[in-house]
Amino acid sequence: MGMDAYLAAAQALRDARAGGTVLEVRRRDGVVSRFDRRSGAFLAFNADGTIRTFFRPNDGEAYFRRQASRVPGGGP
Amino acid sequence: MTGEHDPVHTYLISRGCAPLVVRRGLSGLLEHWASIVAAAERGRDASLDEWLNDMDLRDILAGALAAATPRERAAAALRLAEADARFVAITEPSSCLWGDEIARTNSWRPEWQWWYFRSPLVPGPTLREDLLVNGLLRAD
Repeated sequence: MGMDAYLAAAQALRDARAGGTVLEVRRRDGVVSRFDRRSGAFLAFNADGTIRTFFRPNDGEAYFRRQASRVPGGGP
Repeated sequence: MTGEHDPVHTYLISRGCAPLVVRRGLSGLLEHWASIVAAAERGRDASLDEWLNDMDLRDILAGALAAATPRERAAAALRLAEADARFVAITEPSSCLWGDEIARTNSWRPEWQWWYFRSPLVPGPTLREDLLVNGLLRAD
């Protein structure tokens, strides 16, 4: 996938209506995470729509589930 | 071995791994892990989300090896040991990067799933910021 197609795919997932195959959760750090069950793509973006990351997780939907329950600040 | 008669393939499918991971199989996982380590050595500036995805790859590899035949395990052993040693050399022990709650939920322990309990000695600026924000790195 070229950079233009990659960006377009990320934006399409960000702008898609959540529900159905598009799972969404607002993480406790304010970041919105989405997972598209059709494509297996994961997206994280800030409240202002700025895309943070977009990729197909190795562990599939389990990765999204873990992201959804991750607690920022849970470290040392 | 390929397809439904391959225990590694069965494991990857049952775990719900990405299709690309399933297609690559054990040798692909090993190759991917070595490339992740090499990129980290070169100072790849991953985000925490990307780093966690990389560590998931190592966890999947562990599960795949457990499912593999003794012959497959033996064939992978040297290359895996080399990649793991290089990874350990550029990281240090930390709390679970997925967070304590998720570690507890999954019964992960530093002595077993050590890849989730190590952070880079010299994180790139993006990962450093993410580690700080997530309380996984002290500001000093």
